[in-house]
Amino acid sequence: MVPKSALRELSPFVREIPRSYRSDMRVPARVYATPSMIERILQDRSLEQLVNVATLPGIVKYALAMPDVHEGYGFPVGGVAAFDEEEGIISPGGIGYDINCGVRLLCSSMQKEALSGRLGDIGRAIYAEVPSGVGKGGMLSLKGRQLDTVLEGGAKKMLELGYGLEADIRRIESGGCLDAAEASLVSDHAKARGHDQLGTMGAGNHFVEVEYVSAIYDEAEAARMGLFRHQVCVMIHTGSRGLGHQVATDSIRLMNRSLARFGFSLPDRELACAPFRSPEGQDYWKAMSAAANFAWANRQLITWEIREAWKRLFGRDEGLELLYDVAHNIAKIETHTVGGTPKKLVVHRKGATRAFPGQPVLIPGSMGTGSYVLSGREEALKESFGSSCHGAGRTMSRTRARKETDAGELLRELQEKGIVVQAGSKEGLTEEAPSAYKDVDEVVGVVSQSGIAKKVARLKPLAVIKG
Amino acid sequence: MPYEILEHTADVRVHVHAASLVELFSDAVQAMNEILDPTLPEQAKVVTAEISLEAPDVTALLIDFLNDVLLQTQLQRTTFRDIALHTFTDTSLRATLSGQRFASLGRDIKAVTWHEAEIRRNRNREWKTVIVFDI
Repeated sequence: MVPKSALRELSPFVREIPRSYRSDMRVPARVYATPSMIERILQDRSLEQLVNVATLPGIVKYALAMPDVHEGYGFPVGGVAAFDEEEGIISPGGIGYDINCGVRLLCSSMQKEALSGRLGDIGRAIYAEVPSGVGKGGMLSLKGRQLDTVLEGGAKKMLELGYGLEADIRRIESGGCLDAAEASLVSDHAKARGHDQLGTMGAGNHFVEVEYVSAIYDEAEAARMGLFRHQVCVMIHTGSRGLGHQVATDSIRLMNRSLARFGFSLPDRELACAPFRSPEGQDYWKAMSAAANFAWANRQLITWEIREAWKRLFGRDEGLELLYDVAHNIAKIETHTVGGTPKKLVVHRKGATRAFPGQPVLIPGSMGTGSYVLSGREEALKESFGSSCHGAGRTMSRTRARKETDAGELLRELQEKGIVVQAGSKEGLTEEAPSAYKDVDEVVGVVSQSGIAKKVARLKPLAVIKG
Repeated sequence: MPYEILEHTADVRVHVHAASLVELFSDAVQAMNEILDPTLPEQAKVVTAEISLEAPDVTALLIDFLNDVLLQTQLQRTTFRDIALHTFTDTSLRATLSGQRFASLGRDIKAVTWHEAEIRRNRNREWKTVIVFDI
């Protein structure tokens, strides 16, 4: 465990573990947090994992932890690290098994009063339309070339197939498609695991939530994004399902066998990596891009399913417009300034959201507490490789949350707040109890006060739909 | 119990220990099955699968093996409770898995991670390792 004495205060919201802390560190490690958050962060292995990230070849400036950081495997969740494109590495463990897990927000033209007495119907309609739960298949079962075109075309391919609107694509990070994707580099096993999972939510912390805009902090930004008070919105949180998990598993296995050849000695085998420019590094980059495209296609098909449910409930004229779609487990090639010079970097975000200036940043809180829409700021480019937090961040283990939470009581508490819950598994629900998460207001407060992103709007939940 | 489920903030951390390596591998599969929490119908179809693996060391062999069992579990919608190891060395194995089709799983496992995995022998001559499952 990293002792508190190893941390140096750089500003009220940023602390640094200097390079001198451990001889194998190539750069310092920085964490965004308030003093009280730091106390909690020090209780698990987050910072030890962050220090491990700081040892990876080709890392530039510093390894970063966002305020929602918690222990993961390899990288901590809430971790950001950037590597020189020519001399640095790419690490599947720095992206995670759920490649391009992310969040999408849809906005209606209705105010919440219009839903009065209909929340139960909405919850049931979305639950029926969007398959959820462990390993659940969906409406499409893709084979061979059909699946390959989705892996290479992402959300754009779904538009071609009739599951989207032109306007959607402009409002997805990277246009919902990474061009580097090569379907032939995704194993048959990965394709078999995911071929029927397009348009499905999965289990765990994934959800669809109907929310309303409860507060606006920046009127001009809210108007620019099309947000208004009491507006009904729908948030989607899911990723690349079994296909992405298997791409990560395959790549970590392969890279672990090549470490000696690369001359890498790593503090944790989960950090298995390859030089970005090596054949192994390029193969993973192209397979990861394909899995990322699958995730964007997945969120696009779920959007179509929700729009279908919406039309049945409210009539054909009631549309749902896409506000934005962000990835929070991904590597991207981006140009950032390092030492006064623009450099192409392989930016790894594991449980962290891109936050470029003016870009909507979507931060879901824990179940029942609601979400934030932020807008990225210039400061993010200077300080955090254009990155922000990705959620509230867990603070309690799943096993403890199951033990300490009574499903009936949790449901009653949510009902008392006027929130409808449609969930497939009561145990799954207890693991996601709000008490198992940090306070999203505090997490977003750090991001906002440190200048990474500004608060635009707060959303509160009306209906939670989960596997 | 041949394994204990320990605290981990986001995922599931398991400590597995056994008198022999063969038992350690089998116990790790049982721990994974417990986490997956399957619902088995009364009369479920029996399914078998073959796994053949080579790995650079015994820890890699375990993690690769568990990931292959997980893959078969998900592809065949089957809980594999019986593991017959036909050949087993520190760096290779050949196994037949058999089990029953499940109706549903209570929990998803995305992958078996390498984080903290290291097979060692303790003072009681028991084999042990920690395994973190990504949930």
